[in-house]
Amino acid sequence: MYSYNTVDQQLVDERVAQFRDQTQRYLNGQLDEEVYKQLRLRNGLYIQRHAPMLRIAVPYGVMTAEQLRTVGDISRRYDRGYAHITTRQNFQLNWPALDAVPDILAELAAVQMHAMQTSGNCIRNLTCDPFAGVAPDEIEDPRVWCELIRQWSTLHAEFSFLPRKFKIAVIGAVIDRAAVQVHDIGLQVRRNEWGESGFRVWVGGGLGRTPVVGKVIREWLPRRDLISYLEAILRVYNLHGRRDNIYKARIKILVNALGIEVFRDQVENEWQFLRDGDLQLTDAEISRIAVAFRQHGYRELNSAAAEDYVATRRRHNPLFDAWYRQNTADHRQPGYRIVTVSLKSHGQAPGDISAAQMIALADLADTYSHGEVRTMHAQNLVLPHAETSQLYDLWRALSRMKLGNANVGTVTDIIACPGGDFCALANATSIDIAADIAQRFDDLDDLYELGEISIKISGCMNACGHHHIGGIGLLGVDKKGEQWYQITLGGTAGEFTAIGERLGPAIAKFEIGDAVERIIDTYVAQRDPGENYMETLARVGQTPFREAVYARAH
Amino acid sequence: MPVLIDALGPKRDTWTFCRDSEPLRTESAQLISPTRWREERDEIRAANVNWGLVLPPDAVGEELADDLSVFALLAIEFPVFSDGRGYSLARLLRERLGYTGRLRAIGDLQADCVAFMARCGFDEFLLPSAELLDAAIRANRWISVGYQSDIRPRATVL
Repeated sequence: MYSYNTVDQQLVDERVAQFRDQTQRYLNGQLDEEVYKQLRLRNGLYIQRHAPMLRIAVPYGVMTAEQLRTVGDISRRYDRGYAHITTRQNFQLNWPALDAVPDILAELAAVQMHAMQTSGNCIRNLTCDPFAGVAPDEIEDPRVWCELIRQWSTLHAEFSFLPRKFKIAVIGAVIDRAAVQVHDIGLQVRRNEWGESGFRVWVGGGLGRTPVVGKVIREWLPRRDLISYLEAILRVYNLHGRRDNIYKARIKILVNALGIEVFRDQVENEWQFLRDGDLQLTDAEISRIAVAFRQHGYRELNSAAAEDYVATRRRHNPLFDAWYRQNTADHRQPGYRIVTVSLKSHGQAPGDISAAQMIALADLADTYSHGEVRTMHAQNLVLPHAETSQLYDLWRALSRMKLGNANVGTVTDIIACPGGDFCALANATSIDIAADIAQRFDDLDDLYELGEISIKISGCMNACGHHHIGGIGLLGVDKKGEQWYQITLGGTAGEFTAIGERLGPAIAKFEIGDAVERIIDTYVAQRDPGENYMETLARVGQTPFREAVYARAH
Repeated sequence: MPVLIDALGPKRDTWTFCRDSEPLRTESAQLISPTRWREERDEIRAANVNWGLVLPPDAVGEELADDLSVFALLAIEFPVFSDGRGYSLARLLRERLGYTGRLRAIGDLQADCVAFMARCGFDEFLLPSAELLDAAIRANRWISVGYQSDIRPRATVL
């Protein structure tokens, strides 16, 4: 993992001091509300429905055990003893006191963490494949590029006041586990025929009010040109993105208005001036970062013996068997597996984790995962370096902490924004809907029978729950002051990217749980043997689902 | 009262704005609008005067490429502080077009933006009120390191 050098550390320390001064001036009445708002947003601090909310950056989803332990400890002392994982791999604290935030940021800075640019009209946190560096289908580790982009984009003076927020995601594998095609800029690491690294570049993807899959602006960008090309895109956007209407200010609007060909021409014209300048990445600079991500400490393990051991345990323990099957994945290194820690359990909002769980999980990361943890946009956590032979012990330890729910990828592995319970922007609640749905699939056998289904819930059109790319997407809408939900089906990001299609009229809150259940029942009734939900939907279309959901009892 | 500030601190503003309706004067240090510049280009170029040009945030830098030597001062407007186009325009003028005259930021300036503006090539800042003065000077001092290659080294006050 990347570790701060003196410049990185000085930057976050100075930033804390700067924000402390800004907050003090605000509390003394020397700084206008509107002006302070732009400053605090750029330090991740929102004022929300009930309390301030602090969004802590987890750069491209990678954390150390110590960092996780610190967030846990901070949540206990400054907040209500829990934190939330977001769909952009960040952490959120929902209840900090505003005047305590500089102290929180200081404690975070001590463990190389910060909240810079997690909000505001600037370049936001880079997101990436939670299996980066360890996935068998990986072509090249995307985290190297994420770190380079992070540094380039942090406190970039020219791009400090963009028309709107800007989100970049990077994937280094065949399967897109970072949803790059629904980001403002999506990057996929590729190799050319000479084995040199480069990128396919998408631009203008996004969710929210106007979901759209990004357009390819460049099929091949040599690696040394990455930063200069991004600078060209951002400059064109900064100069020409709309500023008259915040709902029309994202780069996707500009790309749609100009068309990709014209937009590409503008970027390429600008880039001609930048490509040979000091933004060109040198091999030395790339190496400096790449070296940090080389994984040391893998043991030469006797996989066969470990497999046998695990197989025996699985035969004798159906719960462990289910967890192994659902929550662990193949690893590039023999003798290892990637473990997903589910934060989707009864009694907890999706993606929430308690202080005690964070601290205990940090210890497990130290013991079982080389001290490393990842955050997922699916609002779960990952232990990326678990030894197969230790999985049984790890599972038992996770289960004791109520972090062993074997439901990854199932219908109860729901992504939900904080919704109306927390967020001032929401039209409707999402957490209770998620709980209602999950409760209906309590029986584990039934759960696995359904296979992979992704439900994503957003409380409003801002789509922070990414409902547009949910197999079943729910969108909270306000209908005459009441909470109703739009259903979309068939959204996905992974092997390919698609925006879900609206099923029909909005459904009232008290009926939405039934509606979802009927959708699932329809899948089961319609499916061919071995067909998963998305395949069945593609084959039979929306009609059977629509009929089931909107049928009137006779 | 607006206060003009640069790297050495507060300074007297020697420039005045000549409105489009007023006749051009023969003394130096007049700021004019882009409309004025377009309509009276020849007369302005011919006069042996230090001119200044006010630029809106959507000004196209390239249109000035051949005429930059006419201007001793370019003043880029920030209608609201959150309109970040002026930062790009400043960089283009400095880095792309090689402008070496004074570059001033005017409009809705906030103390905490000054540091970013300086990094983009602005030399001076017309703060809307003197109350921002202290904060602007201090704001620039907080962050002494950066990841990007700034186009100016750190100056003394700003």
